[in-house]
Amino acid sequence: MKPFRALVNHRLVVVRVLILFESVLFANFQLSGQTQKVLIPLDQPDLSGKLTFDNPKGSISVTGYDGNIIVVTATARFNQKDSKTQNDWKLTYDQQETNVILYCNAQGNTIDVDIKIPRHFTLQLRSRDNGDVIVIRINGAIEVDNAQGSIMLDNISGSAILNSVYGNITARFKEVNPDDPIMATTIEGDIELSLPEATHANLKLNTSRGNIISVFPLLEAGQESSPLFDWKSSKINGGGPEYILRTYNGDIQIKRYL
Amino acid sequence: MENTDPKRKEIEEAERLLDQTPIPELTESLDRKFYDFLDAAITTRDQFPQRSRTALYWYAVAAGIALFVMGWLGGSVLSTRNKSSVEITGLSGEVRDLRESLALTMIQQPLPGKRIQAINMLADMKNPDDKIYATLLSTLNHDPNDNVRLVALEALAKHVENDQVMAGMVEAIGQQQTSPVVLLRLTELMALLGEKRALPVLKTILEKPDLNYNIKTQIYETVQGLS
Amino acid sequence: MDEIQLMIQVSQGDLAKLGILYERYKQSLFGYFYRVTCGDHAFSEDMVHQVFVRVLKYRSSFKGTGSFAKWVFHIAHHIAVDYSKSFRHYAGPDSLAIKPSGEPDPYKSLEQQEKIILLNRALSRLKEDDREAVTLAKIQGLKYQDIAAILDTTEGAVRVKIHRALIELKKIYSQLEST
Repeated sequence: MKPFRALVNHRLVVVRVLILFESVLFANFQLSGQTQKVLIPLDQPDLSGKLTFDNPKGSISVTGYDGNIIVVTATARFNQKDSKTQNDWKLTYDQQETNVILYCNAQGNTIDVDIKIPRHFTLQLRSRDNGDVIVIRINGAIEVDNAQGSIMLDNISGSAILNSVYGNITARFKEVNPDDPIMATTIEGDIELSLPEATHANLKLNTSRGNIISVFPLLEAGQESSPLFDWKSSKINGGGPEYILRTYNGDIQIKRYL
Repeated sequence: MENTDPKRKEIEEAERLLDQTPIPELTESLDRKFYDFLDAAITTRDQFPQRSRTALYWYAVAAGIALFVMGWLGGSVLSTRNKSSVEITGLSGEVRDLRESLALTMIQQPLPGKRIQAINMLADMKNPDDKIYATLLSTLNHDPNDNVRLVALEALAKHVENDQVMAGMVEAIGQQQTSPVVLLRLTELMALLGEKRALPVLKTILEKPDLNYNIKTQIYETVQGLS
Repeated sequence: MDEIQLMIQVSQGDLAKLGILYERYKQSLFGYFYRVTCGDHAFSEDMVHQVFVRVLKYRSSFKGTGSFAKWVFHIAHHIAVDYSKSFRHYAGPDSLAIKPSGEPDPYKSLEQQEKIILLNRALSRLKEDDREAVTLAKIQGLKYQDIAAILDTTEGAVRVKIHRALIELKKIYSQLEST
């Protein structure tokens, strides 16, 4: 199962590189077949809102900005030639004040979704297949579920609960919420967490097959006085909420946010 | 060669100088400038293919169709049990009751971080009662977030001497098909605990075709070890 | 996630991924420009922006044969060279135009700010290419091999250059400190 996936990924890379060359040859022809755009104005821009989005197939990129409209740009990932499925998919949303739920009726297509959003937002994101989830420059609580692909968070102020199976998880926090836990779990991937110098937290780290590297000193396993709990732990700056990181095959790295 | 370098000390000092002299913080204006630029680039990219197919759709219609059922089962499943058989005596009991009810409310919050906090509150309580166990087991089986399920599992694993907990954990194995991280950890715990009751369900899962390779190996080894 | 992979995706049109690369490199690029310009804060920020403008413009020339760090600092190097051509004050050893560290940073202590100013002054008395060599040598993720490629020279020459420049820097700094 695993070698097979690796093969598929490898072939994907080759195909992508070929497409890249092709696009260079043909004077920068775009791959994107069709784009849909949705603008969601927010009545109360001062309030922090919540966005929920479950993408059946494709990537999600969320970037925070200093405006008060959510701008969603969705692009179907297929060649312009096969046009038969192009008009089937549809992007819609449901809004109650600053609580927004985005829907993508993809009809089996892979749809990559870029979202520009006011910075103070709570996010609940899921990609079910075929894409990475990235979140940049957000102040809030972030929940991401992306079993197949990677999760990348950067320039975040707040907290995050992240889950993958096959992907890597990278989360870089500029600031952390002093009360909220942070969690990242995957099976195949690596986990990298960057924290600000002044973070107060109780780290609990476990990898079955990989290595753990931390800029913060760690205590060995067995602190819980039970063989059932095998994590390495550390109280950063005297301790605080729990930060739990767990992978099976991957490495774990704890860094300082720079 | 480098060790015998008479200038070694100077070089090290110069390096320390560069390492330890801080570089000032970046201002927000750079971020703003960059993301405005990137956004403009994304917008023009998206308009690029329009010359061949001038279709830009603006959907500003609020759709009332719920495509995904964001059902929250959580603690509501439990409320039917409604066991208030716990004897409460004295102030400490009331405080405890307050904490417990606070935790039981928090565990129904939409934010997974708050639910994890609630679980930790329940897990920290001395002499937990059946209601707490039942809440944790329900979370393990029904919470929509895998990480919340995992935290509930770790909390339960502190009470494996309780038979309700142990039986519940064995029963939960069959519920974790869509939560690979939880299934893997649960299997690991069964192996560590030598829990033979887990054998039948583990064997059934082993037959599933699209099981993650690592989980398959772990379950296989656990089944071998328990048999 | 692999930075080469990320940049390849950017070059294919997944432009939002550039945000991740920007976040990972903005600070080290800023540090590079800050040292090379001997502490010109505003200009350094502006040049970090210029780097990413070029990254996007030339995205299809990224072949993924070397690290992203090497590629992006190559671009940064060219920008620094352009800058030095148009603004001679950057090039001149100990020129008068050195503004000590731009605006004072309220987050840093007075002692640290003095260190910054002193180092900037010492750096400004180094030769332009020496200053760049010691700066690049301190950037994480860049090997000597990469630095040699960026400066269009050999690995051996880079080692010798960095070695000498560091000794020189220490000498100048000590002199400044004692005055």
